[in-house]
Amino acid sequence: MATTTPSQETIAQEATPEWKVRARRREILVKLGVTTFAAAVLALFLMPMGYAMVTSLKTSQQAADPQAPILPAEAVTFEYEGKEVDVLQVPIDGETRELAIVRKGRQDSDFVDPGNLEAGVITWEGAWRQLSPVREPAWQWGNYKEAWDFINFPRLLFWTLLYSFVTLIGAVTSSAFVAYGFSRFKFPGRTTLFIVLIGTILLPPAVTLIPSYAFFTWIGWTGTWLPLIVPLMFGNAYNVFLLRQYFLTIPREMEQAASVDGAGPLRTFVEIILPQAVPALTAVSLFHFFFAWNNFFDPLIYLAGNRDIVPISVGLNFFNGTYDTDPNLIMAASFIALIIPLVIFFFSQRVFLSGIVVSGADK
Amino acid sequence: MTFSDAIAESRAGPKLRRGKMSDSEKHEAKLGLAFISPWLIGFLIFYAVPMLASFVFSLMDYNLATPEDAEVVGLANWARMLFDDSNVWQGLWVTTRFALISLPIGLAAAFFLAVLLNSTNLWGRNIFRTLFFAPSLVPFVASALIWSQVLNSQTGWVNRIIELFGINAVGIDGIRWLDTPYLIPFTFTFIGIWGIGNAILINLAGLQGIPTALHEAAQIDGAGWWRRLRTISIPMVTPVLFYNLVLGAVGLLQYFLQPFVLNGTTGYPEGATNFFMIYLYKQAFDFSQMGYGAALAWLLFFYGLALTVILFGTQKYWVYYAAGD
Amino acid sequence: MRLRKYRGFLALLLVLTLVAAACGGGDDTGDGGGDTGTTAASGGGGGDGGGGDGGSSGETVDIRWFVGLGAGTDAPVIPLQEAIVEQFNSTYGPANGINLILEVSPDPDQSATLMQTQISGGNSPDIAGPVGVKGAAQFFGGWLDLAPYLADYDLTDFDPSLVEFWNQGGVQIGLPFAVFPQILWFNKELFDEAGLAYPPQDWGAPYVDADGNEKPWNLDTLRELAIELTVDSNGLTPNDDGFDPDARVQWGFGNMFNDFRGNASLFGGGSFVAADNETCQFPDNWATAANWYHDAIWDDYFHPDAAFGDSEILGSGNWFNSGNIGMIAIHTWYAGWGTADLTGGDNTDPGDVFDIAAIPAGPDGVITAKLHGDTMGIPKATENPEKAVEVLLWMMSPEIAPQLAAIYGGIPARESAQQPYITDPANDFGFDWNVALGALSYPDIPSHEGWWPAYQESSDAMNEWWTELTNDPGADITAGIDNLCGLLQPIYDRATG
Repeated sequence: MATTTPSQETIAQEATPEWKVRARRREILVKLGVTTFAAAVLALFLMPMGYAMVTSLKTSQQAADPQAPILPAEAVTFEYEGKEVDVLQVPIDGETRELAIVRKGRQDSDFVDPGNLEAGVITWEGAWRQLSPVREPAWQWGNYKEAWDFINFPRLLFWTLLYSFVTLIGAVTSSAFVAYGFSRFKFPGRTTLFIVLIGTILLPPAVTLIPSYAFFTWIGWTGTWLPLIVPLMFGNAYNVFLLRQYFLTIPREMEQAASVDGAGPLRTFVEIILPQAVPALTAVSLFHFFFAWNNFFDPLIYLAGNRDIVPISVGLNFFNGTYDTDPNLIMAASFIALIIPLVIFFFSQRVFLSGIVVSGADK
Repeated sequence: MTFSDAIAESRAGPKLRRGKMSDSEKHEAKLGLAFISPWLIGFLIFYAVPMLASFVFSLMDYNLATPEDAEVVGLANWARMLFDDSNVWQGLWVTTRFALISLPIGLAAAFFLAVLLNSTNLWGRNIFRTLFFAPSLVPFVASALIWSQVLNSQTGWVNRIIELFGINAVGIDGIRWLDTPYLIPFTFTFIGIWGIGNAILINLAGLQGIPTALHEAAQIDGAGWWRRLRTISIPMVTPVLFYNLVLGAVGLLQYFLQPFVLNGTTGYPEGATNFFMIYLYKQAFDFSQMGYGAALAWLLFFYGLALTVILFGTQKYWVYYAAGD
Repeated sequence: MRLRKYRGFLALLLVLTLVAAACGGGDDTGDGGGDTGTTAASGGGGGDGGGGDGGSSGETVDIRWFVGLGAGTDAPVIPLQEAIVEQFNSTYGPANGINLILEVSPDPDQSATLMQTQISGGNSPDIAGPVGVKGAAQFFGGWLDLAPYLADYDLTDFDPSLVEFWNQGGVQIGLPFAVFPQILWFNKELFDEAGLAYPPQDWGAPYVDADGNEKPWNLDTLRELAIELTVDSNGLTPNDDGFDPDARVQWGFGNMFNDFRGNASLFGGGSFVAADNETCQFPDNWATAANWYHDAIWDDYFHPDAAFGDSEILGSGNWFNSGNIGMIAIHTWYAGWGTADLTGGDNTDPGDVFDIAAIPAGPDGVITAKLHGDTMGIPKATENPEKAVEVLLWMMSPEIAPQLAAIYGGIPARESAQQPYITDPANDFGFDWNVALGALSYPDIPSHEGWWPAYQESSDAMNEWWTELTNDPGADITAGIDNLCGLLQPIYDRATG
């Protein structure tokens, strides 16, 4: 990669037509190479999701079949005397016939020919487990509908979106202010305060859970969304730290120019800094959105007792019984839950790309 | 070029405070405090109290089943933790070892993938980025199930794929990802890389923020891809690399969920999953010993604090801040 | 100058806030469990002072019923519990100034943490259950003693030993409302395929094989059957040459959802603590059990190991439901939901697919069918103990308790309700309940969930020990047995000393 990539940049100004053609060909080759490589890495990366996808399209019985193929399929069955029996490929007299097994045995088993019942029961000597069943694809798209209906998806979605967007706006705005304060102004105790800020994520939340809960109970907020939303409105360490790091990469010349022009710090912040920080703001926004989207433990604790207003992350557990789980339904529900954030992510790319333009143009 | 870092500033601090501040310095300080006031207020209301309360817990015999019987026992929890509980040191060791293995691999993978996903030579960049990010969005309940099945030594896809390459992976004598002590740090590192989307995203934002003019200028000078990566891209993203490093370290100190779900709280196999947070959770909630749990948490806090301060101290050697100080 | 003052003020503010917070936090924790201190926590608390005299104060009190420590979180049973709440709120509730609220834990794995947080956070539920012995032990010391309220309560309908079952450390934490004996479940199709006769349904009866020969129905016979029922993908059993354990597609027997004490109970009751309640011991019958299970997994191959046991082939942990195991030993709470996939679809009558049988006798010829029981308890931290007791006793009444038992698949603990329960068509899961009723004569004594010092901590140490032993094909069981007390005794010592 390292040796080939520069080639595309060598499409220099003075290229002859012949040059251009060759350069263009090399450029395509490079792109093909990079893309193939990325696709290979991606395939490895997404393997577990492939498993999840396949599982979401199976019934529990299909998943429990030890010799089932990877893709959802089930044995062709035949109704014989009121019972569904499997059709197997049986080698008899040198030919392979598709027969329904009506009695399974260790030494020998009985079969009938679904196309010719009058022929009666055929007894075959041998281990039926060594015979391959006749299979047909059986993709259980119904799992998605069942998952959707079971946990009242629209309602979960509503609360999840509400939570994510409300806290997104509050958390990113406040964090940007705080980060600007930490990155551009000198004030006594700045280092200590910054360490305190980082300190809030150094102490495991497991031990602040109970005092926090007691506090929110005391002010009557448990059982509502308030304990989940309000604290996020004041900025948090993750977002502040990231934005501070990013603001520190932005050279000061332009702010100095602006302040010479008489712009106050607030105007400088809004008009100079924020436009340059679009990629980081986007990253933090996405970051926060997905955090909120998947936040599980806090909603579980604070919304307990009110199953009607929980977010998707908690709702998914309704499939997860004390002893019994329905992996296929959990996977199906997870894929449904994945769609919206993925779409949001996909379209946020535009903002990302525009970020390049802004910083590129300004410099 | 001005290098700055918190440590240098803190060294300069006392001098600054003792001397008289000019009016412009006072003005700047006021503005700074005004900008950070939202966080200060939020901290005082929502964080300070619980944090302090948890410290008080660490001085108490506090059973969650019978909170009304809680009583102050002084430093008994701290003494037991520091002098009389080998699980504490084992937990710190298991956690630190894991961080030392997982952090470099994770940081390198995130940076490498970000560079790949930022390459103009990649067709369908938006789709690739979205798909690489997708696993981080899988709800936790599902990802736990996925990994327990995919890594199953008898039936999991991972071993079945390895088996395709002619290596004996499936079965009792095969590769037992979650049952072999020395494999455990690597198994969980792989699981961690799967959910690396956030780190990729942060690196991407850093790469995107590099003024294109810098690259163009270097190109005109004839700098190749590798040289531009080394002399422009990497230095320019060191601030976000630093962020990933600090938060990665902090996150790994509190590493909990995956081993908790996949291996439970017993530390199986042979204590290899006895991560510090698992032990803490077990004491605080399974055994209801919140007082002891709080002492453990504060030990982890001080460990993390020391680590963070050290990491901040290293900034001046490798992190480049264009804004100076 | 001014700035320094400002800074000092800020620091002072910070310190003051922290100190105030410390006191506040301390108060919260100190009073969390008291009956008086935490009234600020909920609006309904105001009336609790004089509420004990009767329900005529005119104010309605909310009583929160927390479900999640045991059964009750599975989707199908939630509406049934809601119906009970509805029944209360339309009959008993309004007349007595009580409004019952159902709170089902969203995630059973987090239920205990959730309830601990609520109790310590000053927001305790008023009733918690159904809960078994193990779940109750997590909150040892935190339950309200019902004894004073039961002084003139008619207990003649209960087996006295079952009432005693819920006396933990001198505290009567509840009344039994449902019992779940352990029975043997077997897959008829797999027995037919192997040409084996079914296990006996009469307790103490011998096993009659396909040729009519009688054998004692004990764990040796079970082992023989189980080996025959274990098959690899070529149709070979562990008795055949060329059997490939890695290619197993079917297993013979499994003891599901148990810790070691639960597994060992097939070999008779026992305890890891001696009668003095502070010395560790390893009962001989349980040593036999440890060896038996290790051999079953790694030498005879008929019992699933952890890898296969967690896989989809064995129903992601619910083995019997996959249809790939011949026999399991499990409690009656498994009825219905446990076999949903096995009997679902194909219009199959559950009775065609599986049946239940007697538990085989242990090595000394004694049958032991371990017993689970469910109760409802009242956390001491409740703000309204009197009202909570009222609701609890309503739940335990002859009319309601059997309904609750049925919801969770349990045989009613009230003896008068047992026959009506097992003959009710609504409780037909495709097997003869009389077989299950018979198991009640063979409970495990001492209980496999019995009290031992530092319950949770000891259980955790034992689980770690047993997980290591069962996951290692070459484990030295004899050495393992010798080691256990070395692990447990220090825990006992810390708890009792």
